[in-house]
Amino acid sequence: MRGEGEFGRDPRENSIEMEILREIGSIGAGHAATALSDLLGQKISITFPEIYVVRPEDVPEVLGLHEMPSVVIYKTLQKNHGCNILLAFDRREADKMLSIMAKHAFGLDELDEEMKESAIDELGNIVLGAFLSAISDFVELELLSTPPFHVVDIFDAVLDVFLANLCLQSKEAVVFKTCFKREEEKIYGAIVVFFDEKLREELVKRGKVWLE
Amino acid sequence: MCENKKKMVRIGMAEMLVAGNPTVITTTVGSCIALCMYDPINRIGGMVHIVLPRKADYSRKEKFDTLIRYADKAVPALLSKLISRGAKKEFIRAKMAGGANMFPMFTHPILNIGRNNAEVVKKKLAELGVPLVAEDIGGNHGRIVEFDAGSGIMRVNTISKGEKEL
Repeated sequence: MRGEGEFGRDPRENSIEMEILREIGSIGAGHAATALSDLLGQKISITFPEIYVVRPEDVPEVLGLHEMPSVVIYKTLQKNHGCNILLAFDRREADKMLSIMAKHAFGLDELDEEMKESAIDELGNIVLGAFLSAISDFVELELLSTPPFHVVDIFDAVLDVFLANLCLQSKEAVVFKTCFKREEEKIYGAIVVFFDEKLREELVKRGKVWLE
Repeated sequence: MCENKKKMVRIGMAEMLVAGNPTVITTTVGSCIALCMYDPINRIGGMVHIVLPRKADYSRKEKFDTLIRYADKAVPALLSKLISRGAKKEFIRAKMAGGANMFPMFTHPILNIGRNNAEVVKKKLAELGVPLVAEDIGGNHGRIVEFDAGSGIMRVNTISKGEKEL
């Protein structure tokens, strides 16, 4: 497995790309935290304790969820540029997030199944939408995304659907291990981004300008 | 679950393993296929984790690509490996699991390749004359597959559909 800072082939490019990824992560997290805080009426912060750039096939190993029941929310871009993005939680962590949403967004002790489905999609829409918006702003392109879809199943089984195709389309996956924090409560998940080569090159190009 | 004293070995995407008794090979599949073949007389078996039905252009080289990613190459590769390790062609049987459509609400072909994977595996097995004696294919759920290489017993675990033995 390759680690942080090994995104590109040229070391200087690696450094630029990691800077770009941190910037996008920071902007996306800021937007998502604001939207979630508004929704819940509670201050929510989002941080990325670890960022990895790895081969797509190494994503399961990095996250270590393997056979764990997991909630995975997915969005992609509609046309022109390729970027697939996932928000993944161990199901127990997702349940903690749903519990917060039930209490503070809906004023309920717990959500029924239908409301859970909607809440998961809403969470994905906010977090992944903010991320895609940050990428869009960075490359100054209008990137339209699909509505969120989610699935609850064995983590590696969900991932293999994406990896089956993306291993050949995307040379790298970017894994943002993610911490949602409300007061003293922490919920851990991960955002995984698969850029296609065209969008990745655009990010590098814009990043070089941004760093100058 | 398989007996504790057996050695458990996990394989990942586009990986293959042939082993004798007492080894249990395990993998997790969604749209991918866990194809297992075994020779019950010589007590040797193997598993390959197949990712895609076939490659559009085999002359094109990708850095991290491997031919056993593709069903049309993986099926003969597993058969050859078994025979090279002492299995007899006439005794070899196959079992398979996987090929799910994990995102049934989403019609994009990128997320619906499980059925094609299963079809190509079956076609190749028929061409090679290897009987497919059991399968657990399709649906909308992931599968944890355990295969006892010595006995040929396959166990399939799921979150929503319980466990079954093939």
